[in-house]
Amino acid sequence: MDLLVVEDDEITSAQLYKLLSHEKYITDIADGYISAKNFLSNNSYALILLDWNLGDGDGLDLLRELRNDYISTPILMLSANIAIDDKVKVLDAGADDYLCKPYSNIELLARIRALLRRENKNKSAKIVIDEIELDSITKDIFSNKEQVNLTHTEFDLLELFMQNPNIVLTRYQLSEHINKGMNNIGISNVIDVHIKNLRNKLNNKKFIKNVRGFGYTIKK
Amino acid sequence: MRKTLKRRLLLILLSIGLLPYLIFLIYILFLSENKILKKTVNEQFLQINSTTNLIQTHLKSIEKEVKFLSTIDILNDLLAEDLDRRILKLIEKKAVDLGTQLTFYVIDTGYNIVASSDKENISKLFKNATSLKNDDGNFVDDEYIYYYSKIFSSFDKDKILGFMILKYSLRNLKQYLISNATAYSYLQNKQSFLALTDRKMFNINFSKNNGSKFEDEYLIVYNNLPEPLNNWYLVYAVDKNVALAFLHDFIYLILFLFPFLIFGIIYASFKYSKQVVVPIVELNDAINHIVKTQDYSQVLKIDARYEIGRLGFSFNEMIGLTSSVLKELENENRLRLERFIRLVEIFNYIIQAENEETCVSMTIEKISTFTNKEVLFSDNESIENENSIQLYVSDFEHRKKVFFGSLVLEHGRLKDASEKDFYYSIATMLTLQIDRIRLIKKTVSESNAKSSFISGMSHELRTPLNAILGSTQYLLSYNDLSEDNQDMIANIETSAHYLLGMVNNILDIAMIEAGKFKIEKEDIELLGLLEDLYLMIKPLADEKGLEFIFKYSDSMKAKIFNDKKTIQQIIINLLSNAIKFTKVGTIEINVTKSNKKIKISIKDTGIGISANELEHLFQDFSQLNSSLSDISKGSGLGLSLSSKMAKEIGITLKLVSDGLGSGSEAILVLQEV
Repeated sequence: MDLLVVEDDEITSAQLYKLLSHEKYITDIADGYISAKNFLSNNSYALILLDWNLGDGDGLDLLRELRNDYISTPILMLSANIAIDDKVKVLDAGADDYLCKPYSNIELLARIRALLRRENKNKSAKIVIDEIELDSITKDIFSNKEQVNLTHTEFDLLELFMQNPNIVLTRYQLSEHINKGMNNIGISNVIDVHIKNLRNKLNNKKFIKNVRGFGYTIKK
Repeated sequence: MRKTLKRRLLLILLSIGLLPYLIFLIYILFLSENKILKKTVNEQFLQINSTTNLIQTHLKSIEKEVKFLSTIDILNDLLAEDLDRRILKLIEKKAVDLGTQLTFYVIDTGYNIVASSDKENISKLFKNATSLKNDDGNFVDDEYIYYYSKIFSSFDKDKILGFMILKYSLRNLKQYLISNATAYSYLQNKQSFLALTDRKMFNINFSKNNGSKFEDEYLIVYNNLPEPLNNWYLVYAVDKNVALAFLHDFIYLILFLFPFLIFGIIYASFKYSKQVVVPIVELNDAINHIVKTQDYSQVLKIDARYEIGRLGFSFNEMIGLTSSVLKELENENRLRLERFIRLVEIFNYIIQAENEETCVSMTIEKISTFTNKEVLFSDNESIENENSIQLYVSDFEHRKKVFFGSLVLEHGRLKDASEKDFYYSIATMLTLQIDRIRLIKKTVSESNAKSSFISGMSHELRTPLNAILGSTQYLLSYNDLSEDNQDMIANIETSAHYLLGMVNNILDIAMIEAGKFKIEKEDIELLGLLEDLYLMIKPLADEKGLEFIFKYSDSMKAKIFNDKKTIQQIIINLLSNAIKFTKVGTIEINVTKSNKKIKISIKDTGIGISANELEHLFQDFSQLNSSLSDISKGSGLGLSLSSKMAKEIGITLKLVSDGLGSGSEAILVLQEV
């Protein structure tokens, strides 16, 4: 599965390359508008991660050109520019999804997976890790076969952990997940409270592990 | 006015016409009769005097006749007592000559009648012998005058033979009297009242020699007769009607003419009053009509002469003048209106110009289309004369006016003030539009500069943060780092996370201040939103052991139409602040509603705010009573940002506190839909 990352910031593109490679995606990096045109004229990609602000051009222009040329490759638009960010504008221009920088890695990967339609094929609605069973469709949770009632936030958090086992999720990633797009620095420690409640409800103190005070993880 | 004037005029004319006539009539009827009668009396006096004289003369001649007869020689025969027949014949003849009723007597000294014209008396004694004086003379007895004269002897002149006597009846004087249908005269004795007339006699008091008297039908004039008729009066009676006949005829004539005269006067009065009033009424009607219709082109047809005709003529002249002045004004107004419309058209046209060059060319184009006159634009500052208009535009940088160019009118000088105004207005519009274009350009570029600054800031700050957070997450998520490294990278992530929050707040403030804050209003069920936020925040309060209460009336509905994200942000800010600054006690959200105003109160039992601090509360970076060392306390931008956001979306945010240690209360007021 080949992905094209169009990003002029070297550090970001390097970091993305590393992340995506880790997830077994074959990734090309284009450092600007012209470079992207070159890559696109020579290869075909399953997904394009397109930064809005390119050194030698505008990501939105490139997006429009591709769509005008009837290239229907899914495009995930990335932008650090909140002032001109307009989700509607981006989606109207033909983007399939949109993510504002800085984004959480987990969120980015989840979006990529969704766009590549891997979620439904490769993952069943039910995830079972240890004695904990989670159904994404029915929203049912069982711990040791016993049904557990969770709040929306708690369910979302547990689902995120179970979809990403063995990965340490930092407090930032978790709060980004439950307060999508909301400026939440004032309440980032609310995550700790939710985890505490979740452990109590699951009646399992060891399922979600504390990682040195900055994050949490579950082990498969 | 019309009736009054006409009536008055009529009245005046009538009185002028009738009054003299009536005075004349009264004069004739009541005064002239006496005058006429008096005049008649005077006339009768003349008549009566003349008649009296005639009678006197007549009587004198008779007396002379008697004297003459007494001297006739043949009377000597008297002595012979045989009076000659010739004497008899003589006196008989004389008697016939002198009148009808007279008798001659010749008596002797013994008063015996010797001869008489009446033979019967002969030889009788003369009755009135005692009245005979020893001289010639006369006497009156009854209605007779007796004239007597001594008869002397022809031989002896001293010897009296007898008397020649004439008995003369006054009736013989009839010839001097008149008697006809309208007047008659008669003789009357004042003592015996004997009147020698067949007709009516009047009872007159004859105390004077002559006089007059008005009887019912007659005018009486009387005069005393001369000697010897001292007791007799000649009386004239004139029929009054005859005297006044002419007068009466005249009165009848006048009375007969009266209706014609009245008619004539009335007719003339009507005619002349009409001649005066009708043109005035017409004039008035015409003026009213003109006032009503505002049609000053009318010409008045005044059918009148003299002053009224001249008035009409003057009025027409005045109206004509007014009409022409009005027309002139109208033309001027039309011209002005035309120019005004053109100005508006030019304004509407050049306001579309987006840059200075097209603005100038559009103006020149419009001027030449409208006026058929060539106008040039010159940027040569030295051109300054009567047919050029210099244009000065604003230099916004230096706040002054600078020369832009001149409009040069090819056709020369401007004719009048109005035309001048026209061109100067165009010039003003042109400069204003150029100012506007420049100002828009400046504003747009300033606005663009702000936008690109914020956008650049956002990009520049977020891109490295993204790199940092992406890397730290990668390292923390996937790599088995040593515990020390893990701690360090976790610190980096926490700091970057905090920094991101700061950046977000600062960018929000920058956007609000640049007027670029985006508001997306939608229908919001406020209680549901608050419930979600309450549940989201509650764990934090629980963690600190604070009581967290959400109070609202069950029956309450609170629908609002506003920006959901911003409201959420504000409420999270306020709630997290309340939790942050409260160590023990309660945090209470209380929603109330009155008059479509929804009040959200967030009350805590925290450290409170001093009066001094309340003043600076909403200033940027003014976190209260704390240092930046404790990053968990936030950036100090929260309240300032919340306040600004609240203002942006049109809701009220107020913070109250009774001072340090007394807790604080944040109050939000929103408008219900």
